[in-house]
Amino acid sequence: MSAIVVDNLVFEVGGRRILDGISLELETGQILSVMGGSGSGKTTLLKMMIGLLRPTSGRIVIDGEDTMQMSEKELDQARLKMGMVFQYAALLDSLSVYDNIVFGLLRHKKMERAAVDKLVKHLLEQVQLEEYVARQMPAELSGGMQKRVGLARALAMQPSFLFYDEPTSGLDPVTSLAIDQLIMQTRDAFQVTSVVVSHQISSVFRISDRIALLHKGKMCISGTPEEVKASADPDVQQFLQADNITLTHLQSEKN
Amino acid sequence: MTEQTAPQLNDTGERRLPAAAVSLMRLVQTALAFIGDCSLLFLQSVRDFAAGRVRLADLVQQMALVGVDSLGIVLLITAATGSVFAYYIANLSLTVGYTGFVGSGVAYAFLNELGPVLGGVAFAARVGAAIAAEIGTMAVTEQLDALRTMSVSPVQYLVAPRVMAAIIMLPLLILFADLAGVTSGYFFAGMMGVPHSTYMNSIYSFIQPIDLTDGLIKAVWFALMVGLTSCRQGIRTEGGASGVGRATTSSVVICVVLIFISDLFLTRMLTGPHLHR
Ligand SMILES: Nc1ncnc2c1ncn2[C@@H]1O[C@H](COP(=O)(O)OP(=O)(O)OP(=O)(O)O)[C@@H](O)[C@H]1O
Ligand SMILES: [Mg+2]
Repeated sequence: MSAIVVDNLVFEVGGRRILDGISLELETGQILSVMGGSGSGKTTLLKMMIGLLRPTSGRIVIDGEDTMQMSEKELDQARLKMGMVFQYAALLDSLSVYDNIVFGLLRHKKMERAAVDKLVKHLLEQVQLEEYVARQMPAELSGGMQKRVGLARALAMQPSFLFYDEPTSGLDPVTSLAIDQLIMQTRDAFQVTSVVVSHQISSVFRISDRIALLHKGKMCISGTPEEVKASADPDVQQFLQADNITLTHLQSEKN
Repeated sequence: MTEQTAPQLNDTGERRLPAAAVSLMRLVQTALAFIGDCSLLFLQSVRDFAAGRVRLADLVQQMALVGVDSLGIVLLITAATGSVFAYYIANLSLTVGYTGFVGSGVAYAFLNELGPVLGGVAFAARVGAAIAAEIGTMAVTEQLDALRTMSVSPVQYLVAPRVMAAIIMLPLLILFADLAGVTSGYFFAGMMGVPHSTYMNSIYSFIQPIDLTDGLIKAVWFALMVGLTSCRQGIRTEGGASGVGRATTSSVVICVVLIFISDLFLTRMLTGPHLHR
């Protein structure tokens, strides 16, 4: 059974069509990368999968349950097994990093203080942050650090579905690589089904089981990395080549 | 030719309404949406409290914040008003030559009206604005969305504790406000030449417990309105920093308007049964 099925999804806001007929399927324990230009609707698609936005029409089936049919309360229940890493971290700015990381967890179950301490330490290590960061407030962190705290917060709840909105944008290459590995580790260790929005083509091809490319709210292509690479669609090729083109440009300018 | 005199058809063939009617309709629409949202927030908060889903720690923290935030400004405003009010009444009474109503005049006005209304307005400006700005910022920085993804309801975590903290703390603040007004009146009337004993005797003979309780009932109502309004304006915030600014301002304006308008009705309802004692 597919873990996530998105079927002919349409989203309109103020008479504008933001998403237009998106269909996807993802097996349990797979990583889907969603690529696409800025404003193509990637964040909107993620928010719809986790139920923050309701589609205008179409279906989203998570773990066999149609989230469109759910009440707000049922959605809340379903979200217990989902986590999201926000594009701009969205940490609770009145709480310390420590409290942010375990906020959701402690709202839903009781835990010994020592166990919580240990968990926070472990999670910070996983996202390449030092221990002292736990005592800081979100406003005292850089954007990239905030984002990694957001990642730690999502991991803390050990969800079976994880939605990452550009988890590595704005990070240095070394940390990006580590985060990529973390995403794969998380999938391997807990059979987590993941959807990753990303712009970094090299990382997308490294981590993904499936790739989808959005263009102005429509899906150009979705398939395995090999299928995407082999696609003859000009939009797809243009997107995939963008990296190389800028590089060649820079090199020719240098000479 | 103006639109009023000759209604024209627009592209879609609808009859164009005069601008005034359109803006009136918008206002009604906005007001209905506001009332609907606030009622919903109220019901959800009540349900969360009834089901024991609101954390005591959240409530206590809000009560401390709310109290500390507004005690100073409430005391300042009511003490100053009490002084000035006593000054004028004493002045008038000394002119007439009968000072037996100064104490009761000040106390009657403060317990029933000035304490709750001035306190409520100060509360709206201080606490209501802070709530709207805080929740509004959370809305535009996706913190509310983040709460939802962690299956934490913003109403249960943010709204219910704030509304309840307001309902508990505003009446307490108003007790202090009443005390500040009547006490400063005591000293100012004394300075004007009204004997302290006359001031106090006047209060003892004319003021009844119901004057205090009526004022506190108003306080509870104002607290409910400030709490719900500011939370609602915060949650509905859109459009970045300027949106937060608009939410904050509108929250204060709506609260002040609601306080004065509902005060008219509340006063009539509360004193109706026992006028001319
Ligand atoms: N609340 C909203 N109201 C109106 N339009 C919106 C809203 N949110 C997003 N949009 C529009 O939806 C489109 C897609 O936005 P979205 O945030 O999903 O893009 P994105 O692919 O995540 O872009 P980026 O890579 O820049 O993050 C944009 O054109 C944007 O203008
Ligand atoms: Mg985005």
